[in-house]
Amino acid sequence: MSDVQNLIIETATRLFEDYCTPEILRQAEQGVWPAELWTKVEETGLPLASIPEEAGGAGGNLSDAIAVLRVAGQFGVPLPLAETYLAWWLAAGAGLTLSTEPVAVVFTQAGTEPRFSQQDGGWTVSGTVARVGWARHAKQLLVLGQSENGLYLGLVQPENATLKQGQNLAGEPRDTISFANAEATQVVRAAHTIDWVWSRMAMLRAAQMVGALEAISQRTIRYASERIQFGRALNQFQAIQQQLAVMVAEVMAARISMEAAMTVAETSEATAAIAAAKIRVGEAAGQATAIAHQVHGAMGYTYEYPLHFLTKRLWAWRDEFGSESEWARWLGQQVATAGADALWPFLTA
Amino acid sequence: MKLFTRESQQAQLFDITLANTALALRDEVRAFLAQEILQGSFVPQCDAWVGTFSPEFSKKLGQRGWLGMTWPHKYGGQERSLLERFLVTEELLAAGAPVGAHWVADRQTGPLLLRYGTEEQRQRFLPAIARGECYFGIGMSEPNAGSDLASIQTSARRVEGGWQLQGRKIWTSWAHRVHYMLVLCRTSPLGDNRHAGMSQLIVELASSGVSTAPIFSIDNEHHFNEVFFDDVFVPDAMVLGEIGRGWQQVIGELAFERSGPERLLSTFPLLVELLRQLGPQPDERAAEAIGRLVARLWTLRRMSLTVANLLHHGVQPEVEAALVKDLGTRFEREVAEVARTLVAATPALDAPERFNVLLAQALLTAPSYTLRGGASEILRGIIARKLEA
Repeated sequence: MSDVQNLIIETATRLFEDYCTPEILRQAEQGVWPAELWTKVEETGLPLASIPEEAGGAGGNLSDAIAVLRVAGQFGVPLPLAETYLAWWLAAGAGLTLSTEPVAVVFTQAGTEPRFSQQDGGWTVSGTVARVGWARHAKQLLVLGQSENGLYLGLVQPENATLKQGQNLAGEPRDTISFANAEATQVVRAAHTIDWVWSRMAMLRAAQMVGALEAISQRTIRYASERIQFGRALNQFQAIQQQLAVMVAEVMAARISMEAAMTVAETSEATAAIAAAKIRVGEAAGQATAIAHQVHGAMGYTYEYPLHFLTKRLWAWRDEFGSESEWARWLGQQVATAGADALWPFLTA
Repeated sequence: MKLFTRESQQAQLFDITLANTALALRDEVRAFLAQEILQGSFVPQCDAWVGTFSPEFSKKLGQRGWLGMTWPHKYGGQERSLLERFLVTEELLAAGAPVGAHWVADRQTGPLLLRYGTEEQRQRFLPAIARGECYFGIGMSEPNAGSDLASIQTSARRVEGGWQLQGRKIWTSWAHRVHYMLVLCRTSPLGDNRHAGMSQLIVELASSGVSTAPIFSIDNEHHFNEVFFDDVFVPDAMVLGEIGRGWQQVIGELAFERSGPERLLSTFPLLVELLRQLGPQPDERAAEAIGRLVARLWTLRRMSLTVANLLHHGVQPEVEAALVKDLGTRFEREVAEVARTLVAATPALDAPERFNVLLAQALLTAPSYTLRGGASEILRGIIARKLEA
């Protein structure tokens, strides 16, 4: 880990400790935009980590963005950080200029993308995209859609779109956006594919999930050392120790798979590695959240106690950009197509 | 404690990028194994690192410099890195090659001899182990000391020029064929500190007073034995390390034993055969099941490699090793359980179909995976006690 990255992690941790309080998380679930938190985050430049300097970013690489997201995941930060990174990567790749205000990326998996068309020298876009992250708070919509000449990217002002509010299990905005011949500006050919965008978002969600897993694991270990029953701390009971050990192993597996995927994210093996990581992190989320709640007992089931801000995010995030099942079907098919004798070389690549 | 990480956060601890020399070595091993299979020197099998014994194959590995790889040249080693050893080992395991004869000597006895042995002991044993000619058995468990290893009763009393060993050991794989056993025993009576007063003795199994009795496992195979020591004389020159420090030495031995790729690859030959059976276009259910197994194994291998790298840098990753073993051995068993749900086949050791045989091998050996080298529950206890709030 580089010194720069250690600095990023320290900065993010301090900032979220101070400004991402349980009260902020409660309000965010009610649909309140944490304006002060966003301003503070922006001031530190964290949303521009990994964005090339020539595109207005802070430089660095994917691992810097992952480092930020992991810390953000530990706190359940209710901001579109992953979505902002994606928007800036797409914009930088295509030579499009974004403002530093909150941005939502409007895209779907291949087949149902919005359509760009050119009229009278200008561009319009039409279509409907469900579950767009943070759209209601965005000041600019970055749309990925098909045109006659392939995949294009363009900007639409939020007032030119229709928005229907929706949210995920953790109360994070997942809105439906519709365009009917909406005016689009800066329309340019996209430098990435929809598959790249999809797997890249799976990678970023996995990073957030690893952060959340680390935090619920730490919180559960602490709770088990403090809570006394039958005259002993919970962690003195073998039944609880077994559970804690299984939980920690799951969190470690999640972390190592995510980091392994990160290291090959710019290579031809990226999608398979990201698939494996999203599967493994998602499986860990299922097991670790169950243990965390079980060890916390009824206390952890209350709205008052902050465990749920992270467990609900884990349940939401594991299904976003490909659940374990979806990625496993894809990966299993890839492995089968490559054949039995290619399995070992794949695992050790 | 922070797992899979250290305070220093040195990047090199986690950089498992493999050098070109290591990759070339891997290619060499792959080519060798392909050739061996082609020639019919062995048939890939599940759990081969425990269930096979082929001095001939061990000697072939020794000739190629693939045993004692990390040891100094003067002891017959190649001065390769632990990561390179990891690569060679996992190739052998993935191929289901017959590595059982030299396994214990190469994996744990050798490193222990290097660390605690006298110059004379190193000279005597290490080159022979590296040639694939000298094999060791493990002498830890006893009938009344399984998971609770500190309760061993085998003892040695001081006599002129050495020690007189009395007691018995159990679960020693291939004791009827290996040459030596590293026996953990009490050399002073049990006191307040139950971990004190133990020592490790190198016992030549051909010595007078040593006898073995076979123990057949549920597959009706014989690799386990009970070994009896009836006033066996062990000369001072065969004491490993310090008298009274046996417990500390054995804990180090266990770290080598727990973290390796053999804790995730015991059923890999079955997984390969499963893919062959399913063919290039499995249905959705099969594709999903395969995808999940592959994702887990892909992750486990990286965890195991990370532990190897920590060992390589002189860190003792006791907790990480326990954690990898717990996850890895559960995975090994799961391969068998998943395989039988995806292919309609009757598992049988005498079946003509390779898949059915491998499935039978996996099912019949699976109960041992989560027991040997530390039962999962014990490992989880080790992990839990090291967790900090």
